[in-house]
Amino acid sequence: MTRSLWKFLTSLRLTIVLLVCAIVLVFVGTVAQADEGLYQVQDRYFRHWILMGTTLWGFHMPWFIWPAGRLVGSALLINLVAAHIKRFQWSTSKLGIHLTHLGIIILLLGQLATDFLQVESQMILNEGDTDNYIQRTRYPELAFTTDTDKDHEQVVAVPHPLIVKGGTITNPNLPFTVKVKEYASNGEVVSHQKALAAAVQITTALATLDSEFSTVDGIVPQAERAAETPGRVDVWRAALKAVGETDVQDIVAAAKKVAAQPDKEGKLRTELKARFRAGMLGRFSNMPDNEDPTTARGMRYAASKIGAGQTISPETLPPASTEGAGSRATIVALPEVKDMDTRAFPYAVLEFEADGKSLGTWLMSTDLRDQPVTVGDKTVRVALREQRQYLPYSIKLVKATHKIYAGSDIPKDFRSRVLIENPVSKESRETEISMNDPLRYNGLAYYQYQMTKDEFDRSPGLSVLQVVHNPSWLVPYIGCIVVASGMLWQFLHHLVAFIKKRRPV
Amino acid sequence: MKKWLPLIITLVFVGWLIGKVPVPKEEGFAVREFGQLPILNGGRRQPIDSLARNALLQLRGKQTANYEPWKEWYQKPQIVPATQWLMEVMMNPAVADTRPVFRIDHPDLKGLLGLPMDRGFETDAKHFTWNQLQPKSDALTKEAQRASEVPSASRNQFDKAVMNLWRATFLYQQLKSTLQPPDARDWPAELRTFLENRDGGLTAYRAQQAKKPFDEAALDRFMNDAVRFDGMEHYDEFGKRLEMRMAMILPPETGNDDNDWRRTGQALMEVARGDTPNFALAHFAVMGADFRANDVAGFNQAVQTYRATLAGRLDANLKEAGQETYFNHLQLFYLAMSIAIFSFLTAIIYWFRPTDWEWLRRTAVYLLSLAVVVTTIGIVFRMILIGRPPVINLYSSATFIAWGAPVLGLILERFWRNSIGVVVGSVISALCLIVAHYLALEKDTLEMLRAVLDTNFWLATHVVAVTLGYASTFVAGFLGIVFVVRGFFTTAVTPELKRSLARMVYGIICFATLFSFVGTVLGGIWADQSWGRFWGWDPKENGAIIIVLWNALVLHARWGGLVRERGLLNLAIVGNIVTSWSWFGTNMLGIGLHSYGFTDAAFYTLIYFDGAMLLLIAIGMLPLNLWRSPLEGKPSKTDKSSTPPGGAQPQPA
Repeated sequence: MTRSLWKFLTSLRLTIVLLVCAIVLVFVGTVAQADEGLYQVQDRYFRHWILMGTTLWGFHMPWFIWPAGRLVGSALLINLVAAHIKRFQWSTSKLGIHLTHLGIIILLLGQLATDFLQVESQMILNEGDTDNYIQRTRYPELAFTTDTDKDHEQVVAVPHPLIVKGGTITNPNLPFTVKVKEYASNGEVVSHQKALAAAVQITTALATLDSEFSTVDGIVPQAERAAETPGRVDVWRAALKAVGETDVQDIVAAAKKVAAQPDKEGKLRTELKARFRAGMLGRFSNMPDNEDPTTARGMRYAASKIGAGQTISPETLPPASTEGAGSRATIVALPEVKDMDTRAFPYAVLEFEADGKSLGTWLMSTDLRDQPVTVGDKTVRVALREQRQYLPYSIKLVKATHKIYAGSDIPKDFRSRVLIENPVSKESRETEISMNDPLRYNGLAYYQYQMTKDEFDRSPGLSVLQVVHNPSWLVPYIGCIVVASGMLWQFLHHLVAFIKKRRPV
Repeated sequence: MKKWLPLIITLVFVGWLIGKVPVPKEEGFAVREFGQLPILNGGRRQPIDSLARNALLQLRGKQTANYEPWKEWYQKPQIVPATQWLMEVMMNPAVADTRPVFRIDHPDLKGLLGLPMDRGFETDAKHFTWNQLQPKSDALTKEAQRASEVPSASRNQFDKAVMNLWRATFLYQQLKSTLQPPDARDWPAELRTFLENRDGGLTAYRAQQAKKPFDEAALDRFMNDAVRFDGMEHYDEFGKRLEMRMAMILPPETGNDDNDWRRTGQALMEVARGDTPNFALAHFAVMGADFRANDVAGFNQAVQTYRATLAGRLDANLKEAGQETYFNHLQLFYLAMSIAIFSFLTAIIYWFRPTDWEWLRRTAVYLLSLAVVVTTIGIVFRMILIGRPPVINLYSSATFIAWGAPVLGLILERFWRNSIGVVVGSVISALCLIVAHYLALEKDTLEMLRAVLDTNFWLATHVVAVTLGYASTFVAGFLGIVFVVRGFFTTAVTPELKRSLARMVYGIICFATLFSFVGTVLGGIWADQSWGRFWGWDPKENGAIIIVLWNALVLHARWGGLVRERGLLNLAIVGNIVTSWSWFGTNMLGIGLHSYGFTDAAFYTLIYFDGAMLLLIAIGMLPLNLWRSPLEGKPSKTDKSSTPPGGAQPQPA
C-alpha cells in the first residue's frame, strides 16, 4: 500500500495529469473573468481547493467540478518533492534539472505564502494632507469616536467579522450597547427629499406622454413625426407589430392602415403609450451617477417604484432607521460588487441601548458621514468606515503629478512626492512614489495606484497609494533566479554536447 | 554554374532591394519635402508624412490614395502618395472632397448612404468621395450614435462598419481643419484682415461686456472669425471623447518643448484673446495659397523658407521627421515579407526535386537570411526612431516573431540540411508580417507608451523573452505541421526524417520553455514592482503561464515515455493553438490590464487558425496505414526506449 502510494506520488504521469489540470483551470479561470470578474475568479478558482461550477462565454455550467488552485498547486508541490527525493542524483548533467525544480518549489511555496500572508490596503491622500493610517476598502469597520480633550480623541473600532456576525456589542468605553440589526455589503442611501423631487419630475414627464397619445391629433401625423427619429421608429414598429400589422417597415403607411380601423387605432394608442412609458421609466431607473449621484439615486428609486405601480409620498417612503440620517432616507440593497472598478457601499442598521432603554435605530453607511449619538452628557460619533490600521509614522502628500504626452490623452507619468515623518526613528524625509517605482518602508510597500489630478496642475489632486504587506515578497525573485539558472545550465549543457557531436559538414 | 546560382539569385534580390533605397526624384510640388515637416501628433514628434499615411490606413487600408479605383492596375490608375492627398485635404478641401478615399464594403451601409452597389461609370462600388457621403451624413451620425450605445461585445458587422466609417469621416473633418479653416478661400488675406481687425474687435468686445458703447461692425467681423476658429477647435474638443486628438502643426515660439506645440485653431483662438500670432501660421498660409493657385515654384519656395526658419532651434525635430519619413518610404517589413515568401516557395520546390538540386535549398537559405537581415534593419530602425526596445505593442511583437522564427529556422537548417528549417521559418515570418500589416491599419504603430509601460528595462527583458517564447513555440508547432502534412499527403517522410523532426521539436521546445518561463516570471516581477502583486491572474499573465505549463507538459510527457515521436510532433501543433490564444485570444476577452483592443477580423482569423490546427492534429492521429509516407511497421529500437526524466536529450545521429 505505502509502496504503491509512493509510486503514485512520485510518478511522472501524475505530473502530467496535474499539468493538464492546471492548464484547464487557468484557461477556464481566464475566460470566466468576463462573467465573474477578476476578484471572484481569483478567489473561487485559484484560492480554493475545489472549483464548483463555472460560466464560460455566457454558458452556465454548474456541473463543472475541477481541482482549484490550491489543490493543483499543493499536489504539484508534493509530486515534485517526492519525485526528487526518489530520483535525486548528484551529477553535472542533472544539476540544471534539479535547480529548475528547486526553483519551481520555491515559487510554489512563495505563491502559497503570499496567498496567506499578503494584505492589501490603500492610503488615500489629498495634496497637502497628512495621514497616519492605511485602510482596507473591502472591509468596513464600525468606529465610535469620543473627544477626550481638545487634541485627543478615543476610538473604539469594531472589525468587520464582528459586524457580520451581528448580535450585541458592548465595550466599557462606550456609554451604550450596540445591536446590529442589519448588515449588507452594498446598498445605496436614497434621500427622501431627492426621491420626492424625482417622483414629481417623473410623474410630470409621464403625464406629458399620456396627453400626447390621448389627443384627437391623428395617429398618422404622429407617425410622421416619429419617423424622423430612429429611436422612436423602433418603438412604433414594435407597437404596430403588437396590434397585428405585418409590414411595419414604413411606419407612416402602416399607421395609415391602422387609422382606418378605429378599434385597432385605440389599441395602437394603448400599445404606444405603454411602450414609451416603459422606455421612459427604463431610462430614469438606469440613470447614471455621473455628476450628481444623490439626485440620480433618487431618480432611480422613484422610477422603479412608479414602474411597479406604487406611489411615492412622504408617507410611503420607508425610513431606514428611527434616528439620524437614516430617518430621512431609505436604503436600497444592491448586489455584491464583483469587479475591481465599482465601489461598494456597505451599510448597517444599529440599535443603541443605554440603561436597558432603547435609544432608537441608526443607519450607518460608508456613504454617510459620522453621526452623533448622545447619552446623557456624553456624545459619541459613530461611523461605518473603511477598516483602518494605524501606523507608527505619518505620510504627507507633498505633491501629486499627472503628466500626459503633449497634445494627446495618453498618460505619461503619475507620481506622488511624499514626506515620511517617523517620531521613533526621528526621520523626516521626502521621497517619490511613481509607476514602476514603489516605496518600501517599514515592512510595507507603497505603490502609485489611482490619481485624480488634472494634467494642467490647476487644483489640488488626490492620490491613492496601494499599500501591500507581504513578508514573502522576495521569494519569487529568488525562485526565478534559481529556475532560470537551472534551465540555462541544462540548455547550454545540451547545446555544447550537441554541437560537439554534430559539427556541420 | 549551379554553384553560383544561389548567390546570383540572392544578388538579384539584393539589387531589387537597393532599387528601393533611394527616394525617387519628384517633379512639381515638393510633396516629399512637405511630408518631412515636423509636427506633434498623438503626443509624438512625427512628420506630416506619418499623419497622412496613418489617416489613409484608417480611411482605406492603404498607405497611398488611388484617385481612379475603377481602373484596373494595367490601365494605370492615378495613385498618389499619402502626403500629396493630405496636402489637398488640408489646403484645398473642395477638390479633396471629390477623391474616392473612403472604403465601404458593407452592403447595408452602402444602402443606408444611398451609394452605388455595382461597378459603374467612375466607381468601383467600394471607394467613395466625401461628396458622395455628405448628403446622408446625418443618417450616418444617427446610426453611429446608436451603434456606440450597443455594448462592444454585441455589436454586429453593420454596427462596426458604421462606427468605422463615422470615425473615418470625423478624422477627415479634423484633417480639413488642421492647417487652415476648412472654408477659407484666400487664407493669407483672411488671416491678415483678422490680425488687423483684432485689436479693434477685442476693444469692442470688452466694451460690450462692460455694457459700454462699442463699435458694432468691428465686433461683428471679430466674432465671425472667432466662431470659425472655435469651430476648428471643436473637432479637437469632441475628439477627446473618441481618443482622436488633432495634430499640432505649429511649433513652439521659443525653445523646443513638446508642450508648446499648438493646433492651428488653438493658436488662432489664442490670437483672438490677444496673444501674438505663432510664426508658422503665416508660413502655412502662404503654402496653402500657393498650392491652391497651383503655383509650384511659390509653394516649393515657401516650404524651403519654412524649413530654414525651423533650422537651428528645431534641428532635432527636422532630423527625426526626415528619418521617419525615410522609414515610411522604405516599407522594410513589406520587403522582408516578399523575400520570405520567395524563400518559402523555393524551399517547397526543393522538396519536390531530387536531392541533386542542392542549389535550390541554398537559394532558399540565402533568401531567408536576406529576409532576416531586412527585418533586422526594420526592427533596429524602429528602435532608433522611438528609442525603445524592439517590442512595445502587439504590432511590434508580430514583427519580432517574424524575426525570431526564421532565425531559429536557419539554425535548424544549419544542422539538418533538408530545408525544413527554411520552410518553417519563412512561413511564420511571412504570416506574422501579414498580421503586422493588418495591425498597422488600427493605429499609429510607433505610439507613445502609457505610464505603466514607460520602462525600457522591463520592455527589454520581460516582453522580449515572452515574445521569443511565442516565436519558438510557433517554430515547434510548424515543425509538427510539416511532419503531418508531408507524412500524410506525400511519401517524403522516412522514419529517419521523423526522428530528426522529433529531435528538432524537442530542442526547440526546451528553448521555448526557457524563454517563456523566464519571460513570464519577469512579468510577475514587473507586476510586483508596479502594483505590488507578483501574480494577479490577469488574462495575459494566464496566457503566458499556459504556454509555460504546456511546454513543461510536452517535455514531461516525452521524458515519461507517454508520447513517442509522432505524439510529440502532434503535441507541438497543439502548442500553436495555445500560443495563438495567448498572443491574441487573451486580448479579445476585453478585460485586464494587457488588453489592447478587440479586432473582429483577428477574432475570426484566430478561430480559423485554431480550427486548422485541430484538423491537422486529427490527421496526425490517423492510423499510420492511411499515411502515404512509409512510417508503418516496426519502429526502430531507439524509437521505443523511454528515458527517465531529464535523461532524454537530442541525441545527434
